[in-house]
Order: sequence, then C-alpha cells, then structure tokens
Amino acid sequence: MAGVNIRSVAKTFGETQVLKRVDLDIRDGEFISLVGPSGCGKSTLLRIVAGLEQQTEGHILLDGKTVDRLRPRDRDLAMVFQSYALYPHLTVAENIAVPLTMRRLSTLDRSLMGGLLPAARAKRKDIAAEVDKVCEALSISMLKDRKPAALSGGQRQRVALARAMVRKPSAFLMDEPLSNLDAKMRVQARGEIAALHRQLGSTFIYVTHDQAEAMTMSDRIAVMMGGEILQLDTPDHVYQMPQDLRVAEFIGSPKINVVKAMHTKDGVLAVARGETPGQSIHAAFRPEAARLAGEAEAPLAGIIHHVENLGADLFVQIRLDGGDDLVIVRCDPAGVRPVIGDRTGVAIDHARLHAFGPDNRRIDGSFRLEAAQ
Amino acid sequence: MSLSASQNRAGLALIAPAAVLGLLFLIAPLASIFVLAFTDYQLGDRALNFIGLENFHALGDDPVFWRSLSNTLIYSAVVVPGSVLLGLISALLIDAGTSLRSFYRTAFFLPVMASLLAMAVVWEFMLHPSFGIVNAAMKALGLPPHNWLKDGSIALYVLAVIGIWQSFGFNMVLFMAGLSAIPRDLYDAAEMDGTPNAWDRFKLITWPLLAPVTVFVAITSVIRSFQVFDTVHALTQGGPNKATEVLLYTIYAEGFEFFRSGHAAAITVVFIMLVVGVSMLRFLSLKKNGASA
Repeated sequence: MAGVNIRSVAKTFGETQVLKRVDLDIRDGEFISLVGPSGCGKSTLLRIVAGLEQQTEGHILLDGKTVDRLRPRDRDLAMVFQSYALYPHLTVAENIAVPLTMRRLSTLDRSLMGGLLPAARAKRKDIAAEVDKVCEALSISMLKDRKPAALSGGQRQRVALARAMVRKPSAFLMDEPLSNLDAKMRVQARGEIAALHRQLGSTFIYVTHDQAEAMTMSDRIAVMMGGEILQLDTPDHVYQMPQDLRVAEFIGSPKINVVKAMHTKDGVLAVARGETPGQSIHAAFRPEAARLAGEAEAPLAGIIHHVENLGADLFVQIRLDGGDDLVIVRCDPAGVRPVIGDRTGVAIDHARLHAFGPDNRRIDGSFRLEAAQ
Repeated sequence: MSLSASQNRAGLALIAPAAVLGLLFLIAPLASIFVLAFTDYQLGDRALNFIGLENFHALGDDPVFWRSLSNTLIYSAVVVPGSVLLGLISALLIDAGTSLRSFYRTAFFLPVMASLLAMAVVWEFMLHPSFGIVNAAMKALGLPPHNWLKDGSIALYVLAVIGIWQSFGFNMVLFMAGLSAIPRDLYDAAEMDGTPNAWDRFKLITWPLLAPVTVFVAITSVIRSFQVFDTVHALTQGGPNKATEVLLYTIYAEGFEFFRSGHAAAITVVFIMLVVGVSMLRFLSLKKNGASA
C-alpha cells in the first residue's frame, strides 16, 4: 500500500520535451487515470513511475520515500502492459509465477540444482499455492497449463493481471490494458478491473486514451496534453466543470459543442459571425445541455444535417447559419422526430454553459448565450 | 477436393518448368553420382563396369578416407560451436549497443561476402612462420612461435579458426533477425517482475525465444562446415601429411587429380548421406516447433 507522489517530473528525448514538470499526488488506494491523446506523455510518465524510464528532472516518491535511484525490481510496483507481455514459451501458471520465483528463489535455487535442494522445493511449493490462489480469484484455473498463444485476448489480459497481482505489490500500473480487446469485452473488463480495485484496495495508476475508460473506473482523472496535466479532478468535475477547452473537448462523447462568441456585457455572450474583431470567447455546451426549439427563442439556428439514432438517444447534428459549424443536440427518441433538412433553433441550458478564454482556460461565472446582433 | 481435367492439366503445366529444371540439375547429377559409385569408371574411360559395393569396401580399408572423415568431423566440432557462440555474442552486443550498430554489422559480415580464396592469401601472410604478424605477436607476448600451417598437430585447428572467422558473421545476422523479433515489452515485463540481472533476463526471454533460430543456425553451420574446401585447397592442400585432409578435398583430389571417378563418387555418396542426415534433424526440429506453437 502506498501513495505515489510525482514532483515536477520532466523528460526530454533529445530535443523534444515529452513531459513538462508534471506534479501529481496520488493517494494511497486511489484509482487514478492518466488520459489524453497519443503522444501526450502519459505512457512516459507511467514508465518513469515504474522505473523503466529515467526522468530528466524531478522526483518520484513511493510511500513518502524517493525512489529515483531504485530499479523497477526494488520499487514494489506491478505493471500490466498493453501487449500483456506474457512470456510466450511459458505456461500460464509459469508466467504468473515469474515475479515470485525471480524474487524469492536465489540463482542457485533456480538452477537445475535447485530441484535437489529441499529449501528450494519448499519455496516452489509455496509459490505454486499462491499462483493457484490468484488463478482461482480471476477464474483462470482451467487455463493454467496452456501457453499464451492458445488464449483469447480476454484470457491473456486476465493472465497479465494475475501476474501483476500475485506479488501483492503496493501499486498497480496499467498501460492501456484494454485496448487490445474488442468493444464488448472492454466494457466487461472495465467492470472487472474496477471491482478488483475495490477488493484489493491498492493504488492503481491507469493510462488510457479512451475517455470512457477513465470516466467509468477512476476516483480521479488526470487529463494530459502536450506533456502537462491540464486538469486533475473527479470524473464528475472533469465532465461538468472542465478547466480547459481541450479537456472539455477530449472528455465526453459525442464531443462538446463549441461556438465562437463575443463578450458583450456582463454575463452575456453574443454568437460571433465570421471573423471577429478583438478577442473571441469559446462558448461550449454538451449535447444534453441543449434542445431543439423555435428559432425565435433560441440563440442558435440552422438546418438539421443528420440524425444519429442510437436507440436510447437521438443525436441531431445541426449546421449553423453563416458557417460550416456543426452542433450536436441530444433529443429523446420518444418525442417528435426531427426531420433532416428542416430549420430549427437550438436552445441552451445556461446553467451548463461554459466559457473559455482565448488561452483555452475556463472563465468562471454564469453566462447567457444570445443570438448574433 | 477433386479437380477437373483442365485444372489438372494447368497444374501440371505450371509445375513443369520447376520439375524439368529440378530433374536436369538436381536429380540427374545426383542419380549419376549414385550410379558411378557402383562402377570402376575413371575419367576418360570409354566403358565402365559395375562392381557392386567394391568402392565402398575399398573406402573402408582406405586410411585416407577415415582420416578425411574424422578431420571433417573435428573441424565441424570446432567451427560449429565457435561460430554459433561468437555469432550469438556479437549479435547480443550489437543489439544492446546504441551507436555504430550498422558499422559493426557490416564489419562482421564482411568475411561472409568476401571471397574466401582471396582472404586465404591474407591469412597465409599473417600465418607465415618467419614474417607473419601472428608469430610476431606471439613473440611480443613472449610465447613460442609456430609454423601454423605446416605443423600437423595444429594445422586443422588453424583452419577451423579461419572457418569461424569466415562464418560467424552470417550466424550473427540470423541471430540479429531473431533478436529483433522479440518484443521489447517482454524485457520491460521481466524488469518489473524482478529479474535480478541481464543474465536472468537472457535465460528467461532471449534464449528460449531464440531457440528456433539457434537450431536453424546450428544446423546450417554444421552443413557449411562439412563443405569446407577453399581454405584447405588454398592454404594446405590437405597437408601436412593428410593432417588437414577433409571430405570435400578428398573428393576433389580423387576425382580431378587421380581421375578415379568411381571412388570419388563413393565418397560423395557418404558425404551426401551426412548432409541429408543433418538436414533431417532440422526438418524434425522444425516439425517439433511447429507442433508446440
């Protein structure tokens, strides 16, 4: 059990700066997701915590102690890789046993001579028992004698989890462990990993580019972009109170709607038409914070471009007047079905309207969006 | 699945070129060797007589043949482990290094591509008893000089060292290809799993995953070492006193210097049996690997 502290960690590869002085304090037992588009530095940060990569600057603390100079072996962490990284020539049971045999058995114990040493035999027996227990817990006991090549993607993923769990590490590091699974398996595995976290109570650091994985499993999400953490918050806050336009755009599906606007007077944003003089503001609202309305009472209007019917929701794409901008509005399929090609207005729930400045940062305060003048 | 007559004809037409060439250049010469081995044919004769196993009986009583066979096996026993091990070590070192990788790769591969006959001249100079660099180095180190190629007790081993020098680069390239096929993630996983040192990671990952490549490399090395000829021909001509007489050189001498074609054919048959035997090992190992994967 350990908290993880990342203290102004920077990493450069040659000329490129991959991480720019990242600070992150992860509490003991917390499930934290590092989420961001590929190339944002999230995997590099995880590898630095693991010790597989050395930071250029800054410190990593595990359980309050600096581990910068410790090898991965001595950091008491376990990692699940995107490719699972199972040893292809070993059986499932042997794969899971590796972290234990490598740590508990001496070189002599592991040599051919080891079979003759009673102490080594006793240790091997203990290891086998622990492997059995982990297999039991993840219900992969029937796979113990198979080679990884004979397993399905979901089974491999469980074996990789089992190999990480068997040593009872103080924290788990997961590098996109679900991205090689098909969509259905992924949803199931999400639930399983979250359940595992509740049951083990260990610290989980989970790297993903899939915002849905981050939203559904984490206690807190760190949204990373361009080598920095843009926002660190609970899933609810990240979704409802994004501190940066890029966070707002990255989290949520379908994407948040963004409309350029001018700050006319206190708390009022006017929709901007075409090129705007001076500094414009981004007004953003999620599809569920808007509804189709009469043109007269709505700040935005346009032509219905497409209707996506997902069964439970209708997502209506509207091409706004005076530009190519699309906004998406969620509708109830039980209501009146919008017709493609019709004109409509878009009304916005102003309590859920966000404003972001030209620097992409959130502007606090409550705003109304009004039609262009 | 049954094929229509026209499909059958098309199939036959498509294999025909390969079949004809194979028959002409592989099967026919092999068959004539096997026939010649049972005759008393000498190059230039107008007629030949079948003499049954006489040639093979003669081989059994021929000390030169036995010397030649045992020399070939000794040569192989030195060159195969030497070139496989050196190939593996150099591949691992180059793979682990970060700079000059392609330079080392090219440098070590050069002897494979260079004509061994031309290289043999260089070796002859280097090994020359009075002005060779090797003896000069031995002297500088306070060691007794040797007449490397004329001393019957060491000449074969000197040729074996040249053989290793010549062939390990080829093995190295094969090992490097094998190494590049091992996913890097596995080494990261091994690091997380607590392997204490590089040797343990080698034992856990590299060696087992390289096993199919190693079998392939070992078997091709055996076959290539059986085929040693050019260094022997250029440097020692089988001497001194048959100390470096190897199978291929004996075949050459019997067939093209003494014109005893039947005799040479009999040795060739023995040689082919050896190579086929080793190739069978490779086939079996491939089958075993295929079944377990």
